[in-house]
Amino acid sequence: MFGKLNQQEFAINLEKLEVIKNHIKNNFYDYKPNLMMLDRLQIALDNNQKISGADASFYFHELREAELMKSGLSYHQAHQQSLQEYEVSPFSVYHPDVIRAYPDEFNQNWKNYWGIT
Amino acid sequence: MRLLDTTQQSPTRIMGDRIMQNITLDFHIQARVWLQEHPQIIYSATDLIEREVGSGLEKKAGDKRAALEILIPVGPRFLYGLLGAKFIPNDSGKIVVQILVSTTEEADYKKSIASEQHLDTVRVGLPREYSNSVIEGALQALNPQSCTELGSGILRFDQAAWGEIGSSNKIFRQIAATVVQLLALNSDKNQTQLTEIIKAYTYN
Repeated sequence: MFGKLNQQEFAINLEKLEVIKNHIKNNFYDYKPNLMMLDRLQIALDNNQKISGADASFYFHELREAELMKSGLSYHQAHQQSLQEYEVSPFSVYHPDVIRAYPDEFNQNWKNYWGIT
Repeated sequence: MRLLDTTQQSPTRIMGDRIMQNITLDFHIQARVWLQEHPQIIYSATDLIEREVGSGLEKKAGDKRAALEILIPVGPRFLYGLLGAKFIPNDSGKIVVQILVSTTEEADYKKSIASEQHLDTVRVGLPREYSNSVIEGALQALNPQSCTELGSGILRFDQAAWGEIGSSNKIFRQIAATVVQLLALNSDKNQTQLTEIIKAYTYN
């Protein structure tokens, strides 16, 4: 489910979180599920909490995607390579609470993946 | 929402034996537009959903066709969908919106933007999951001005493709509204006008 990130906890780095925020702000239009995921990471950082599961999948995916796009890869290449490097499911990058908050943005495959009825 | 302000359009090119226009927008967004043509998608309809709108509309001359395929990257994921419709004028005085609903098990659509870039598995058809959103998007766009532009007739959504990862009810609602606006256009509109319509109806 979470590939190389499975059953692990990670500390958030402030500078890396800023890299992710800038990557999303500069490359993509405002997508509310992203903003909610970033809020989750910011809250974890502010409270010195470690992240796991979907939060870690989002965090490492966007960090790697940002690095790869900065090195010249297209979005499509960077996105695919980031998923492959961490061996995570494409459905693992949003927390189920985010999917529940924005049900219109996610199809039944996402809900099935997370067991959301 | 930030406004998108830079676009690139490729010259019209042939895909299969149909003419379509590639439109690349800011934020790595890619779109394909068909006007008076269609992507030649064939799928088995398991149901037909209908809604009526308007009254006392005049009949305008000539059938119309429009289709939009769009891929919107947002970072951890992307949004994807394709819808096409034809408008067949008649004397009923109203517009009847029809949606051809499919199963989720139709054939792969390997020509899609998302398939070509190995982002998603895209299938032809419009599963029931998205059918109400297509109706909602179409009805939302069928305001008095659009109804007057189109006139009386049948608006049938008969071209569709969806991605296992990228599709959602929201994207299909937005694409349906955009397709209605494209149908209300005269086919000689330029690409800048097409792009403005796509921006206005798809990214919000």
